[in-house]
Amino acid sequence: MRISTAWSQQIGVNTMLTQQSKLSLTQMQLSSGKRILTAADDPAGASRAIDLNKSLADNEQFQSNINSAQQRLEMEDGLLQNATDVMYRIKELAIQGLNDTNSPNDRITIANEMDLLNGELLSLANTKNANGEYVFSGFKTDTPAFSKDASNNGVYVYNGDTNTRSIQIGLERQVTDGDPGINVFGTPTTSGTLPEAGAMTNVFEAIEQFTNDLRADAPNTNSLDDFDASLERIITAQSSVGVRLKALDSQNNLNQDLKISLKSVLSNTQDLDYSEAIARLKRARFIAKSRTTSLCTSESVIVVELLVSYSGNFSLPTGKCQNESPCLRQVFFKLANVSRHFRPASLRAKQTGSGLEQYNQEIGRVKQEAAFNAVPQTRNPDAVGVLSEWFEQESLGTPAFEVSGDALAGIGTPESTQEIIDWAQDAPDEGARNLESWLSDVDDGKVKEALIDTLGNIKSFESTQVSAVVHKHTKLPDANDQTAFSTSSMLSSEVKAP
Amino acid sequence: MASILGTALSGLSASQVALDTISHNIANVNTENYSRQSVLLDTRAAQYTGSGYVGQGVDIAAISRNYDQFINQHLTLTTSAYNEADTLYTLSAQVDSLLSGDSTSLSPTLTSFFSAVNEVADDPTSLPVRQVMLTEGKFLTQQFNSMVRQFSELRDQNNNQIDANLAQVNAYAQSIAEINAKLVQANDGATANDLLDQRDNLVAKIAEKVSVSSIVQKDGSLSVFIGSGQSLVLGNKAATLSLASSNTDVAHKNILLDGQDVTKQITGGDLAGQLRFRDEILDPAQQQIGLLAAGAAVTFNALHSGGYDLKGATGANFFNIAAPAVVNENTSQATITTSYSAQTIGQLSASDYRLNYDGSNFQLTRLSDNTTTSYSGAVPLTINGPGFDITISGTLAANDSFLIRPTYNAAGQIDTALSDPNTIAASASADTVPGDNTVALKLAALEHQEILLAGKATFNEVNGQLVSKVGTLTSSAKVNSSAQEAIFNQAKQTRENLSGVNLDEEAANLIRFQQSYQAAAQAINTASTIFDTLLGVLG
Repeated sequence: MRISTAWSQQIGVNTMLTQQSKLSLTQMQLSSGKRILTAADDPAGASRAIDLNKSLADNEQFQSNINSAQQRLEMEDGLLQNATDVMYRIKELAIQGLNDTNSPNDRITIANEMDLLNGELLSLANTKNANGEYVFSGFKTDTPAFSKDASNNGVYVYNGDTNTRSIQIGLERQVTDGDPGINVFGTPTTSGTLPEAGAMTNVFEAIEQFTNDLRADAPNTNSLDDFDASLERIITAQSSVGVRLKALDSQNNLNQDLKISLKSVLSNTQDLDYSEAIARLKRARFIAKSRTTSLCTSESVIVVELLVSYSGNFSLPTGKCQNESPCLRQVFFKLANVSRHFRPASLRAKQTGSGLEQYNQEIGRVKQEAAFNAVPQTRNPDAVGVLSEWFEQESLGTPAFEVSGDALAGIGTPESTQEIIDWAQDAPDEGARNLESWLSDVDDGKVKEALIDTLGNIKSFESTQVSAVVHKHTKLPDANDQTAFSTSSMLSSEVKAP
Repeated sequence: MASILGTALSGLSASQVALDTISHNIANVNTENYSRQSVLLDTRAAQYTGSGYVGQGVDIAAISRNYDQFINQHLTLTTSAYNEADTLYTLSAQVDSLLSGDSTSLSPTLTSFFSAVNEVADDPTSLPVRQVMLTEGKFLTQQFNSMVRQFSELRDQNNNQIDANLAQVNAYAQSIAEINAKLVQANDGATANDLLDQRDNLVAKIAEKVSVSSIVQKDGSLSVFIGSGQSLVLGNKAATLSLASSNTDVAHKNILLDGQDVTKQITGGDLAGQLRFRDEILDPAQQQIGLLAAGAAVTFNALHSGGYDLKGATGANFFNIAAPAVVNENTSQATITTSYSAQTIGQLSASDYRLNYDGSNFQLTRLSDNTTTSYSGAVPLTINGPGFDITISGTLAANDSFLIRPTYNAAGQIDTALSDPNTIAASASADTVPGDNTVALKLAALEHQEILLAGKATFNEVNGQLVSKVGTLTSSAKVNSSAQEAIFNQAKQTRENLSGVNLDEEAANLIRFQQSYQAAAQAINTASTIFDTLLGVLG
């Protein structure tokens, strides 16, 4: 079968591109930790992930609703506990006051204490929560629940309503976050005057009635029934709050369990299987590498061919190559990208043997310019060595130093770093100026460390500018991060291969 | 002796032409769609002598192009198919990543908004919490707006690319027409291989943009047809493709061929990929988002305006959403007004609708699947459509038609209506403010209700449906693109293996003809020696 030369090269490039795009997908997956990067990667999984994320967000919302309901009910529980305590003291005082051994003055003293306790109870009933809402006013949270009637004859008025606020704590579950004041403290009379003892429906009025009787030295034993009924109402309310708190607790546990199972399903749906991805990454890297290697090998053959042909030309006395600096530039670009498998050292041997060395001196300027342009493209540390030697033949000075440093930093292997260090030690001034850019180019953790170790300790670098740079880069990530860091830098250096 | 010279000379010139052709091949090793050429040699007619026929040398029969019409046609076909699939994939991947991105997708914003509504239900008297709900509502509408803005940008880019592609096809067509003219003019029997190659290359370039077929006419000119048979080049005349806005939407472009709308006839190539992207992905995605925006706004507003705000005043609309746009398609005298309906919003589809009047009845057609519903009644008339009401008044004529777009613009226009946190209506009655959270609870519960798409989808599910739909289309476009690429590469390889240049082969031929050239030269030398000898004898 005939094979088209151009097409067979194209196939190589196509395969390499395919492998590189696979590699890049795997790298994106690894860096995000997600298997599904966009919905197209797995439409069904992506839509399931949306639903699961939604359920998780709902769950979180219900948890936050539960928290606010819990806070309020706990507050109410505390208030009701206080009210119960006050009521016990009131009953105790009432029993004491009913005792006929008391003198009228004793009874007035008791009545005074009971008035204070009644005031305390009223202030409990008119407590505001953290948001400034009256707790026992139903929906009328901006008005105190109870107040004394304007006529000031011991009658009270309820200013709230009978509504209770519901809070959504689960998809189908609501809980009321409070109780209307009349459920807790009883309904005040509407007749305008206090009813008789024993027929009291409101705790404040019952206490008013009893203290009035005490002051008149005629306490009524029926008042004890009123106090018991009031206490009963408060305790009933408190136990209802307790039941609701328990319900919140159980819903809370349910939501927590649901959250864990949702998270695990979500993770199975969208998260990456790291071991599988890393295996895939290794495979893709291997393939991409062998592809580039095979391309490089053919490249290096071309370089050798060209070098030999140029050295052949050199034997001509006219020096035909002098007019062909663009061609020569090409050669050095090729050389810059020669794979490690074809060591530039052998190339060098080849030129030396073929007299290219001499030829170099004749057209040193052209060669130097070409090498100068080629260095930034270099991805092979050995090639840098060759090219840098050629720099030395002419005094290119600082620019040459800079581009070589850039190239070496770009290569990012310990050897290339050593090379930078050696140069930098010879020329600390230029090194200081370029240290920062080199450091930012070197992305392998260990190389960076080596670079900082050596460059950072050279005396002439201890200017404020440079030490700031060194300081910034010395903050290496911790052991774990560093592994991740150097993994990613290894990956990126693979992609940079010629 | 004269015949030695003549014969040797014919060999010399044949070898020279062969060497010229080989170096031409080598020079064009990297020329796209170049067909390698070869020299066909033929023995010259022999001359009869007394002792039999004496050979007279070699003739160059032809310089031919290694070319197979069927392989080329197959390549053209696969080029169009591959470019269509690849363009569709590249474009839809943009929408896919827009919808899937953490920061660009709607889902998190929707969730945050309803979470803020929940907080108001938990704490209806708190102004800061109410302010958060207003702000989250604003974020939500901005997210809707920005998605539509991104869609519009994609649409503009797509239009520009279509325009650029059309310009290229026009240029290619023009060049083909010019080559046709040259070939017809030259018409000297010999085929101008390189011109033919150039022309084939132009057809291949057109195939990247749109599917193309071609027929060689008797006079040597090539007739080129695009799409489903629209003629682009006939002889030395090339038609012109251009882009024009549709009369219903400036951003919706149609492709015209010499003024005729051929949008629906365009198949294959980048152009078909771009048109399919617009019609199958971009516009439906915008409509689905519009459906979500309109659905959420209308249901939310209906509940909210039934509530009472912190001051005890009746609730206003929470979201501002413009009524569905109406385009009068043939200068009807009637007046059409539309409004969304909260009662029927569940029946709304992510589609445009067309209202037709046939002289007695109205037909409302859903354009996504062309289902039609009929309505009758005397004008002025109010039709309760699917998700929106239509009020018709004025003078109607038969065949009046109106395009109604309830979803297309909705997400681009939605905005929040309130700015004062007091005006959020959380309470069910003016008497129960401020602690009443009944309405806020119902608003928060909307998030979980399957309201839209015939009562089958929550707001979040409408978005999920869109993401997975675009994801599925993108994923199948991706699979299709790589399948078409494999087929294309196969076809390309077949063509290259036949017509491409193999440098090794050319090198071998180079040596072969170099040697035959040298040998022919040697024969001339021999003839000269013989002649000298003869002269010497005579002298």
